[in-house]
Amino acid sequence: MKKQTKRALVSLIVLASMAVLAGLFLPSCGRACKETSRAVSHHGMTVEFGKPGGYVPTLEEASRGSVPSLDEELWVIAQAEVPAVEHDEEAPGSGALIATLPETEKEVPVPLKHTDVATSISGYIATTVVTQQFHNPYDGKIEAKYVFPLPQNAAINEFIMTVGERKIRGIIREREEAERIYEEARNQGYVASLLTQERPNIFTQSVANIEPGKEIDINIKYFHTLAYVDGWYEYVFPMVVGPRFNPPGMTDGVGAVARGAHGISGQKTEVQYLRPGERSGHDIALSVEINAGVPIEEIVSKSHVITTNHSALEKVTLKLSPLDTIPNKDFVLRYKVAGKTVKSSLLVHRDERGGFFTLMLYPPENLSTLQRKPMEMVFVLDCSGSMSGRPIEQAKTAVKRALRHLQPDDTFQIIRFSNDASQLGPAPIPATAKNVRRGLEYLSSLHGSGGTMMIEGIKAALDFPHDRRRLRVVSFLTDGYIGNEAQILGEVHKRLGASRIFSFGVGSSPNRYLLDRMAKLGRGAVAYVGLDQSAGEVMDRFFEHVSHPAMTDITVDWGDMRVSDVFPRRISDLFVGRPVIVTGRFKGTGNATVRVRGLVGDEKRDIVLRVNLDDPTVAHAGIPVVWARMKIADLNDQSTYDHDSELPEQIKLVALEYGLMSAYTAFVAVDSLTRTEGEYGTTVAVPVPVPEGVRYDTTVQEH
Amino acid sequence: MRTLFVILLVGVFFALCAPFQEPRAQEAVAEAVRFEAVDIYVDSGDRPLAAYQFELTAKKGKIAIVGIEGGDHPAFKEPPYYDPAALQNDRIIIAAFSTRPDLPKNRIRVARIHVEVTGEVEPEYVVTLTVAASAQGERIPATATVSRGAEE
Repeated sequence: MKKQTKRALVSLIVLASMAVLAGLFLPSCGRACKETSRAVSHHGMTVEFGKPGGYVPTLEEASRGSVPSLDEELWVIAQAEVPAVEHDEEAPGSGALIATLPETEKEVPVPLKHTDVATSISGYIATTVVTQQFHNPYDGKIEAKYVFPLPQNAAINEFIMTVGERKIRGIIREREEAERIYEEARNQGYVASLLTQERPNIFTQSVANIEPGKEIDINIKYFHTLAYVDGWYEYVFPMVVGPRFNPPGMTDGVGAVARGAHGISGQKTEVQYLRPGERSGHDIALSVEINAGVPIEEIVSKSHVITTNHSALEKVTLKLSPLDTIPNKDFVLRYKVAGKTVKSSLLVHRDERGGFFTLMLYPPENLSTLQRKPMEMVFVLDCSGSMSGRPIEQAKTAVKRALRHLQPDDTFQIIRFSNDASQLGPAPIPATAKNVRRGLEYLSSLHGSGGTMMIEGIKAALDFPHDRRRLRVVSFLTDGYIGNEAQILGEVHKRLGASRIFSFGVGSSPNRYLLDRMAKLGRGAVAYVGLDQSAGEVMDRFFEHVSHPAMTDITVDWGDMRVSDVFPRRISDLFVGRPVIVTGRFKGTGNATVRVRGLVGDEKRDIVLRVNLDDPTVAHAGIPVVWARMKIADLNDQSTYDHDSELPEQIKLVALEYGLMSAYTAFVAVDSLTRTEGEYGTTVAVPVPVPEGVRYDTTVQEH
Repeated sequence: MRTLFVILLVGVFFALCAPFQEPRAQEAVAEAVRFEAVDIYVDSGDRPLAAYQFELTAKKGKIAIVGIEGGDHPAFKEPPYYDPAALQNDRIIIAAFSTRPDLPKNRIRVARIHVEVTGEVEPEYVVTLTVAASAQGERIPATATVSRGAEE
């Protein structure tokens, strides 16, 4: 009996620990933590918008000339005769947008009122709670749909729907089952919500049966590891999905269409964008609490205006300025901690599921004193329409700076792609002064227009013979605005050979999933160049890394740790200043010695780590979920080149067991006490602004 | 004899019809889906309740949880947690704990489970309290009961 009680208490603690999963990383959390247009309308519906004294259009007025069906999504656009009021709003239906002058932005009603982001960071783990406040500004019931981004490595394990004062925890289920439950509940008039994953960094939130004037909040909790480069931690919160290009014939991509132009992209997922001169009332608040454990020397955000409050040397709280609340670019925060605190380390955790570990590999310090071998540098520039203007100028600046870093022993090639690919010459050329001038001239001739046939760029960059005397580095400079990520990653895997890939994300909201995964598959690294950043400095930092040899061909002797399911399967090279994280499961007890072996040039190097696998004081409850998330990412990568039909099933099983979001699982929540009258109403997409610096006319489909 | 023939004929007719009618009836039953709320109460007598874990099953009927809500008392107001791994094996295991100083005693509603019911068989819910515990982490005597529909 006692044994049963103990077992029940243990499992209770395991269950409850899910609640404070992130809290376990937060030493300061303690006790408190443990306490736990277009909208489809009914025919003849009257649409009233509640601004006192404002014009109240009827649906008939709003949809003059176009009668929407119940199953159709559309935005009603205000009619030309609408009197000029301070905040005239729009009604569900259809019509023509009133032309507005750029300086008088027109506010359109959207069912997403506000997003609140609250993040706690401890060590290299960030825990974030995103609250999306949906409301219904129309006079008929609606279903809201919002396509939004989250970090590509987010482990989403909590979903709560708030209806009035009542909070309902969503359940993780197989995606098809969750979608079926949601549709049943929606069709029967129940308030319900569904969260699905379209890409590892793109999600769709659906909220059904929001009655006029009512609000429904959705809380999504996730955690992820932070990037660490050269002593700086980087936290990113993406705010908008950039407009993707989908190659001809593709249907499961991410379409970019104008507000109200539902369905015209022919893609499974579609993002509606506000037109120039339009804005939505949707704004964002963001706060971050950092407990670094060691003094924080410097903290900066070049993307947004922030206010900071230092409560202690190692603790900072910061908020987004109220003047910077338009969600049209990634929020990027960097902070530098004191001293050389990052060393290779091994953390373990054991529970009833077995043993889990994470290994952080940090390059040996003496690498920075050694010189590199000659390079074969291939620059691949995205010259598609979404890159036109400032983004391509940034990319060109970066390449120009890189050309100046090259040494005469190096060779280089420049490849451009949009609808097709072309290049500077048939083969890489020596980086002589004359050739560099030739390269600079070629660069000057490039501009952005057309589609993003990245596959052509990949073929051109990876398919030619490799000069074995040189380290081949292929550098992609792109915003990554494509919908065929899986195809691209599959090609990278297939054609990589001895190349290393360094991806440079350009712009205010690049596709970080694609760029990160390309770099990971290519055993290289990723860097991001914002529109207001110095592209030259970013390239300087890159050359600082590659100017010294990396530790390559890394293998690990796990000693007495009997490891399995280690991810990533292929460990990246260790470049100066950039750590690599490896995670897996283990069996074994007692003290273990782990030896990491690699080559620096032709010389063998070791990193030796010792760990007590039975240390009762050591518990890192987040490690199993980190492992599960990395396993899902690995299987996902594998599915891009290996069409094993069992991979989706494996991803699904891991996601369900660990309660995580994936492409094959989804969160659903139904409030069986709130049943509304009649049909579920109209489906209203939440339109978003195009990312800052991206041209609407070259990226968004109008017709 | 004639009556016997008629009876046999009728019997043969129904026997022939049965295989065609029954699958249609079953199909119709399988399509019927509805949603309801199930309230879970825990009675810890005069001992303050700090933690609980229970398993919910249906002896009859086909159910699936579609949402979990907290209870009445502030200590258990937040939606409790479920075991996703257990859910994989069709087991609904739910738990919560609180470290508030004002822990509840006697019978309180600790959770409301939103359920999808498939088919026309009325579910017969059974709740099994795996453990109830005090703030000191000790097991305390308690009982759990289940009530269909919201009692509010």
